[in-house]
Amino acid sequence: MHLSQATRIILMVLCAGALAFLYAPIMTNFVFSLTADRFPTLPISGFSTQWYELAFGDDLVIRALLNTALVALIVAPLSTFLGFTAAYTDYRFNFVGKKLLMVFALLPPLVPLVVSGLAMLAYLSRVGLSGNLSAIVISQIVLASPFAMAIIRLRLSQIDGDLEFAAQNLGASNWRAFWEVIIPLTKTSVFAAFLLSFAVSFDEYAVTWFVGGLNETASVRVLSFLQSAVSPRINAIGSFTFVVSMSLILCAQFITLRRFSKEKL
Amino acid sequence: MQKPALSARRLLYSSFWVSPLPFWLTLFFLGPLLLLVWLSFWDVRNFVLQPDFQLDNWVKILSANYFWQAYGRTFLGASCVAAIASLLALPCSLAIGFILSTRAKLTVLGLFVVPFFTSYLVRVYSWQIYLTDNGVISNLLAAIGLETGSLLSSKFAMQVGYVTLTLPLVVVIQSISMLSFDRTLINAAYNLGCGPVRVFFSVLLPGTRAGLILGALFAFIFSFGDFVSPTYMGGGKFPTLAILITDTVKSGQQWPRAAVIAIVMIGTLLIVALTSLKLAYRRK
Amino acid sequence: MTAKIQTNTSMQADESPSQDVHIALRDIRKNYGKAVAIRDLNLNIDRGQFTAIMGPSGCGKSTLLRCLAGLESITTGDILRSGRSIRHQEIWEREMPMVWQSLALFPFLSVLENIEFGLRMSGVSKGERHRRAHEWASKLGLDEYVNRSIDQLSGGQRQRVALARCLVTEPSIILLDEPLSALDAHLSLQMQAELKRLQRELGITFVYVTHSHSEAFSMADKVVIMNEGRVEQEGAPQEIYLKPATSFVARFLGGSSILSCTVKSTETDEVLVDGKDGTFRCTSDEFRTLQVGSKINLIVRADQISLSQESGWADNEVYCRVVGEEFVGALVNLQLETASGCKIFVQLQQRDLKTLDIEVGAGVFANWHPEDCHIIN
Repeated sequence: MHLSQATRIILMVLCAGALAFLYAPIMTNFVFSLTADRFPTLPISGFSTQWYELAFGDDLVIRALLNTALVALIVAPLSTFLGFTAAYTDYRFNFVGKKLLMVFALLPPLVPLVVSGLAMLAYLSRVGLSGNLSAIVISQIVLASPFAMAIIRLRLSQIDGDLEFAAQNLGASNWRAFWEVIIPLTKTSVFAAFLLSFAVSFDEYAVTWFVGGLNETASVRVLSFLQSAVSPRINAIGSFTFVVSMSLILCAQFITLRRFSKEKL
Repeated sequence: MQKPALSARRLLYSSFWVSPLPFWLTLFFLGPLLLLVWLSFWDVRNFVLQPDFQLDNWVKILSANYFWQAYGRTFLGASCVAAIASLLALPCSLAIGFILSTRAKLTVLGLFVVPFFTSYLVRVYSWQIYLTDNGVISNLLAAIGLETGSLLSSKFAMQVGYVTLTLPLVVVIQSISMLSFDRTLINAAYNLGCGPVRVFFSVLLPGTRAGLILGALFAFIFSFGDFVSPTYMGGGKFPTLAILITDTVKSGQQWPRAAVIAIVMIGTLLIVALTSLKLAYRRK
Repeated sequence: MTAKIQTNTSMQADESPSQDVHIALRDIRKNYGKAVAIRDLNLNIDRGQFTAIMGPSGCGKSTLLRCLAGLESITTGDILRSGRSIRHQEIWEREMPMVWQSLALFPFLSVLENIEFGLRMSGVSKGERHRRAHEWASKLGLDEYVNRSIDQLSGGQRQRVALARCLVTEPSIILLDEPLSALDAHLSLQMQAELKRLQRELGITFVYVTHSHSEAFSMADKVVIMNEGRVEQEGAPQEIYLKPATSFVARFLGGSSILSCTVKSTETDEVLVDGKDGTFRCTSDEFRTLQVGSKINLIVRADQISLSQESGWADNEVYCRVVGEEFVGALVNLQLETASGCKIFVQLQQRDLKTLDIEVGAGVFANWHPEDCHIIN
């Protein structure tokens, strides 16, 4: 598009401003997690790792982190699998109502978290599953699999639909053709989907808080800290979670977008 | 006449792939939502939920002043976010769509996606630090002679929280429609003598309407159901529907009433979504 | 199904070199919901022959090939291979390797790994696989490229890999779905010659789907022309070219003029028919059985019409105006229009056009001999 130099500069500055707006809270969090002050103020009076020591010396925090890791390690592979089956269904099969099914599959993240949280709490407590880690796992899978599905579907849409049939045409059964063709072509995006669902599980706070009962994950612990009082410990835990989820997402993006950068956008 | 036979092997193969997610979602997503509908007709006696079929909860909630106040506030707030986030995202998506090089646009798009998947709670907490009475922003403003006091616990702060949540999403959705917009149309318009402003308003905006509307819709949906910003940025002073639900659930067994609110929320979102989709994909 | 097939084949029929029906399609119907892609189609594909199936896009030719390969299930009817039904065979049981329009080469495998894929699926040992894959790579001139990845190959080389991948398992039949459509004209011609040579040497059945006249007519032993899910005409290329059976075929192949006429008189050696633009004399055999007064469509091929400035050159003539010309190499295709608006197509040498000295808009006589008139449905 022919834009004047001035327009270009204005747009770029506004874009940079939007990025600054999004990253400011993340950056300050890192900064304030390392200050000596009780209350975060400017100018910063000194450097200290006390909030990290305080946060990671807290039994509740440690237990929450262990829960988070445990939950995410179960949620991520299961969501990836479920997301994969749905993405592959959309790619390979045609049947009446498929579109509707796909919309249904993408719906969970769009329902307000408080609504899903309430509904799942009511439902899982009816069947005796609420208040434990399995309740957290079950509901997080519902929330994470659409993301896994989206990322794998994106990859599948770049794959020639005839390839699998070509393998079958050369004597591979449908399972064998899947293994020989679809797995090699999607394995990196499956890994990306794994990372993404891990990140979704890692940062999920609302539904987890509803259904988890006394079992806290790290993000629910942050919620509890927020509810009680301003505490720089949040900065410490927050910095840690930022590092984890940002690494996960950046890796997932790198894997997913690598192919796109080769093509023209 | 023979019927086309789907062999058992193929049936096994397709059902292996088709069924798992629908199974899971029916059991743990659709099931809960249906229960929620049923729950809204239950009764609470002596702090215990009783399956029942009575309209009491609906009548109580729908005739309550505080509910309609919260409803209006939530709807208005979410509409504001949709507008603000869309406006803020527009220069970003224009830059991504039409200025940056292929490599740069992917990087920038990536940078917009990252915050969406990082802890919203912690980011809101950081905003608290910025906006509190002795916070970074008041200090800065005080330095140039502006006394603001606490910016926290205000509608402004709530909007900051909502935009933090939704901006990445809106930028990504808008950018996708900008990137898929047929460039030759723009050149054709220039060729026919349109100036840049006219091209923007009569070619680009109508052409990317779907993306713009969808972006706004997603901002609306996500802020409509958010309870974090109203609680921690708004300080609970402006109860929204989401807050009514968390309060009701936390304060005891009034789940049926919370269910009524939840259903109203879903119904509202459904109507808004269908209307927007109709607007987005309507043929002229 | 009711149809039977008259071959005295046994279990080894697939390998026998005798010329007989290899694939028989019986009353095939394929519906997609309410849309009918193939309707009540019957067709024999002869063993060891090059059969080209052609037609406009949407005529069902690709669907037919996909039904053969098992990629689509047929709604009704049956497919017999050497007399035995393969209707319920899975894709991977049919042993009918296919060259895909998209080629569908495996991008994550090397050239050699692509070629040996079929052997690997049927459990051939690694050494044997390599030997045979190398053998076919060398037969198709791919020796130097066996270790390359697919995206390092040119279009023509990919074509050969796709072909080698099919032939390596030494099948009795292969299917080709518009395999040359992605190549440029020069490369396409070269590949046509090579495909024909391979087919002759190997003596296996080729079923070749294309929309290109030149591909079908240059390579095939038998051409099948399809329209709206049906076979319009099948036969040797020469036969179809000389005598298109239906007006669809004539129009599809192009270059034939069609005149609607009424039979005026029938004599032993000559039939007179009345058209809108004159009366024509016809002498070919097919006119013998006609009744006076019956309506027919007369067809004359473009290369059998000559032009003249004066009347009286041949037994049949009609006065036309030149409305279009198109130069193809040394030939020129002229489009004429009679007074009644009927289109006449003429093919001339360029130098003949020069001697005639006519241009678009000019009037001219089109002439042809009575024996070059044919009837068409």
